[in-house]
Amino acid sequence: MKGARIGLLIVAVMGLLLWPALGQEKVVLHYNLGTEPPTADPALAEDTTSVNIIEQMFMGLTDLAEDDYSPIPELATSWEVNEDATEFIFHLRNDVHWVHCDPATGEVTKLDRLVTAYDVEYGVLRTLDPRSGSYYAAVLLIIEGAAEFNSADPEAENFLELRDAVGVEALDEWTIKFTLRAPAAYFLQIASMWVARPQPQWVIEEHGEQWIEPGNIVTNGPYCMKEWVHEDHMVMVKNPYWPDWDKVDGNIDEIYFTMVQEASTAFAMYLNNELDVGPVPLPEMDRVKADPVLSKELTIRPIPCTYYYGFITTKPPVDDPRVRRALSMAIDRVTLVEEVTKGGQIPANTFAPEMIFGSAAGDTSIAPWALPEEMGGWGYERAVEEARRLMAEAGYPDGEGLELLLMHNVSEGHARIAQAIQAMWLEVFPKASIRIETQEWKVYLTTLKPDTPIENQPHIYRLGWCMDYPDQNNWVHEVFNPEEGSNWVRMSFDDPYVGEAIRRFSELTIQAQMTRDPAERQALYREAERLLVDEIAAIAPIYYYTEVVLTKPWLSRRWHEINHYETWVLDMEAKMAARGG
Amino acid sequence: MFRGKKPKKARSRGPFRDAFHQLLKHRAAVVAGLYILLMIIFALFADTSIISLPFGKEVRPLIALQHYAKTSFRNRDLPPGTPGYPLGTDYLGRDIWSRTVYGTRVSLSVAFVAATVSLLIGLTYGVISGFARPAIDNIMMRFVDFLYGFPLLIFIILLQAYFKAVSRAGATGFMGLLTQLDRAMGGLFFVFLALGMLNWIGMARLARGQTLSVKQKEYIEAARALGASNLRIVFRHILPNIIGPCIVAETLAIPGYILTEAFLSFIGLGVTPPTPSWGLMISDTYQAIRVYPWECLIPGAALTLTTLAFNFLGDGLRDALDPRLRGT
Amino acid sequence: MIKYIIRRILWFIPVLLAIITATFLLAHSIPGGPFDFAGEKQLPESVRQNLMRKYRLDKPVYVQLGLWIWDVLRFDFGPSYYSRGQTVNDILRRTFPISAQLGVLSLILALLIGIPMGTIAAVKQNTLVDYSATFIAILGVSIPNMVLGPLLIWVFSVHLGWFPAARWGVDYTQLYLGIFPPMTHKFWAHAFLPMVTLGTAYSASIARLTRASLLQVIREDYMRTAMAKGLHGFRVIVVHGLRNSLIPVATVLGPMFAGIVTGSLIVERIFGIPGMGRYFVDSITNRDYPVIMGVTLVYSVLLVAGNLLVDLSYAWLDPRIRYD
Repeated sequence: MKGARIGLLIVAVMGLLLWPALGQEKVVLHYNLGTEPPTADPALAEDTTSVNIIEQMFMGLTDLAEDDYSPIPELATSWEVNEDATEFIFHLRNDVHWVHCDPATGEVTKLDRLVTAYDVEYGVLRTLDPRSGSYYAAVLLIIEGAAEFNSADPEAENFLELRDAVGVEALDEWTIKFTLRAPAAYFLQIASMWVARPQPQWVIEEHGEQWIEPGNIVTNGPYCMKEWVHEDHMVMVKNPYWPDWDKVDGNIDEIYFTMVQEASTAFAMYLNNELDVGPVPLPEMDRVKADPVLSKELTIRPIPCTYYYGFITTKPPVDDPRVRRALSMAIDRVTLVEEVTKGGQIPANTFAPEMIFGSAAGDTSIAPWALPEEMGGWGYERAVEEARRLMAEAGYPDGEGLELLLMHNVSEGHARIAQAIQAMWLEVFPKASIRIETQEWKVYLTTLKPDTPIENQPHIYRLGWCMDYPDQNNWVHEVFNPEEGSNWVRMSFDDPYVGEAIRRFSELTIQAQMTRDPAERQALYREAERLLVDEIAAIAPIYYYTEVVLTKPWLSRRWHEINHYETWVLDMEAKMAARGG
Repeated sequence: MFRGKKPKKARSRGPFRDAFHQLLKHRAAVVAGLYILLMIIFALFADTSIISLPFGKEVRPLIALQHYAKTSFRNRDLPPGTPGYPLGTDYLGRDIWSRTVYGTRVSLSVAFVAATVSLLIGLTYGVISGFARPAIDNIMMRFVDFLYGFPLLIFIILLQAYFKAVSRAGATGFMGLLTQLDRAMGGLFFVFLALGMLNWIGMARLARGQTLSVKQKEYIEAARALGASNLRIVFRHILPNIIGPCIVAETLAIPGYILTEAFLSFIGLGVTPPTPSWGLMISDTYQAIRVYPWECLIPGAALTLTTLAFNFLGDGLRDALDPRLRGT
Repeated sequence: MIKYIIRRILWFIPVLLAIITATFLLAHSIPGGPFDFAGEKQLPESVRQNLMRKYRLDKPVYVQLGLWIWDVLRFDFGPSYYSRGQTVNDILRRTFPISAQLGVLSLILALLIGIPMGTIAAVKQNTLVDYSATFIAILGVSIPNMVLGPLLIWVFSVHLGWFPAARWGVDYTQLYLGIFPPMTHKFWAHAFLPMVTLGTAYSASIARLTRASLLQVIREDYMRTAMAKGLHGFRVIVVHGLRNSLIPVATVLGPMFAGIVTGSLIVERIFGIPGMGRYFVDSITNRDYPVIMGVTLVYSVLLVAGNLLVDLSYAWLDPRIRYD
């Protein structure tokens, strides 16, 4: 009797063990990254592709909620913030293991190490270490002593002292404390970023910069790297030891990333069922929208990026805010997004898009000329009238005598937009002379740098901005504050027209940084946006970006800011049927 | 005294008149020549700038229906045959006929300038190198190797970066002239420069190879034995014998030039938009080949036809210039 | 002959040095350094300084050049600035074989199509056959790769489903001796479309050159003699004429070889092939100096070697040419 029961148990256990091997096929997702990720190192990443890869392999202290980008627990289960938002204590979970993936077999092994606060501390310090040369260390400079350490000479005597003085400290294995140099309520979002993730010190010390190669790399996220044939493909396999599998409903065992750059080729691969998610090349847009099958597979959703034209505000004739406003008004944003960019982009009347904390997007008291009537704005016709009036008032009736240089970096998409806007401007100001010039990206950035002589600069430049963390501080303050931000529009307090407004703008974004009360910050940022876009008109926001993707019917996915593949569900049977047939 | 007909004059036509006469016999070449002439007329009279600019009058489209940058968003991507747009419109609603006609300007001038420059420099260099003593030949060919191996793309980016910075700063003198020139050509100056630098070296190698082969021939030795000077040997015996393949290679290279221009546009270093060139029009719209095929195929057809014309013209020229073909 | 080859090889050295020096100096003088910006952000000056020091960029340019040449002599091409953690050696080892496979296959295809087509056109000069061959050849030259590639993908991959849409059939880890691909079905399925795209344009040029040059050779005395002796048709042309007429073809083949083997940027990009082509542009836009130098060097060596082979082939093609 007893023996039979044990025998039954053995059969049952064996059955359970063998079940995955016998019964089901591996669920494989085919996803095109569009380019080779420059790195998989959390300390060095600066681009969305690398971040996408890193997100799968390394857990952050916090994570951003799918809907409103608010900070939610990930590696940290809870946190405490002091009264003036300068001290953040995170309590970590104690069930996350470091794992290693065998590149030959794809087998994942659990290392005898848990992810601790010390790993996070090491990660933050390694990102800040001047020897790492991290591009994105800048977002961590809000931490006390970080700026000093980041800019220290590694050979200097006090180098280690400076390292110790950085305001990050693991209080014990499961508690980490950050001390900031100034109040920053948005630090919880920064804590979700790749620069503040735990890093495996022993692996990095053993392999140096090669530690991110398959075979070397040790990770802790839901997926780990099995294969990385640079520029060709990367394979990630499910990390069965990731503790949260029971909290998500995803079923993907393996992700096969390809790196095909050309959108039309990736589109063809999607149609061939070689990819489960595909892009839509711009010229195919009309056709996809009209196609009965593809239009159902199409998703267009806003992403936190803004396309804008900046004015060099100290360079005549755009030193006159009336000229700048008139130019901004004469851009027909609705036509532009419908007929030129075609991706459902949203006409922008502010710098920061809607999902950013403190954004005033769509607020009709700010630059209402940029919005169509159905969004509560002026509509283009009224905007054009006002633009003509302002331009005449500024001394350029019908654009007579107005000579402008519009510059953009080399890219077909930018060229289309620039040509369209040039045509719009010439329609409204027929006597103006507007030239377009293109420059190769790094030359372009060198031209735009504020220390370039102003005679070498254009009047109008194009740039885009995507969020690092979802707070206005990352937008109006870091990009445009005349004292502490990049300020490539060259706003100056001595501006004869709007110097006072510029001073107020600067004060507002600094004050908002120090403020804790969300409602109060919101109000400060709203006013800052109004000054920047409307009164000073240092930039002409054009549209908020969208992501345009096709998804095969057998894949149901979620829409996090960065893909969370562990939440995606793929019907492998349907996929195989489609691929076979 | 002779009665009746005067005797035929001995052949006294110059070699080039003779060649021209031969060329006219080649029917395909004549058609091709006329086509190219038509293209030149298109290029010159796309608008009235040639006629009216000297008098300071307004420039109006002539053969083109509209200015090349005339945009009409409501009319984008219209197919050929739409009233008002005989060849349809592109992604910004610009008339493709007009842009193709204007494109003739850029594409033809790129082709002509590059071809002439490369033929002249390359032929001279190649013949000298092939004809000269081996030591000199060697040095000359090493220089060609150097230019070949040199990554010209870097050079183009550099030139664009520098010249444009200089031009914004308001250059004077020679640099000022260059920047004026560049602006007048829609940023094409650098394309010319790049093509010129890229292509004469190929021609030089070809001419040298041909010279080396012809040099050993009996009739050259015969001429030398008769005391002909080097110069005479080169002009009377070598050049006529090698010019055929060189001209064919050059006419063949013309689509290459137009395509190189397209390639430069593809990587963003071509003409400054909205100035049209066939290459830019193709590289701008190749992704739409399935959806709006005419946007890419019309400039493509213009390119192919022009190439075809240059080829037939080249064939005709070769036949005409080859002394051994006379009278066949 | 041997002396000639040795002399030519010795000539490589100054030529390569000149190319390297010029490229190095020019690359370093393009505005915008490798570490000036991250995205649109400027790096803090101190971090930039550290990186510059790490990669020896703080030293005078001539010192950097000297150090680089010294490293190259020991086959160390240095680290990539952009793909940090990878070396230029890694990049070349990975991408060159793929580009070379694509290039050699395309070139063989181009020769296999081009020479017969040119020969037929020449033999049937000024007939319909000739005109159609000319027309096809010209169509081949004037269709840009960026149009032909997507068209082929569309027809043969999406509609007919005969070939995969993109990518290369093997990756560098599966090659024999690091360069030869396994001749699997998968390899050929992936190679076919890009090979045709790249080969078409070249086959057209080769056909036109063959025709032109063969026409000239046909009129040579020895050919007339051969024909007068009663030999006729193809045999004479192929045996006596073709070999001699290949000189212009061989001349363009040298640079064509170097260009095609180091990768065609457009074809590789359209078919998503992980070859070397993109590095000719990307290394420059990233200001990745060691990669710029690495790909330039590979290209130059191939080119100089290709041209040497061409010069040697003259002697074989036309025995009257002698090197002394």
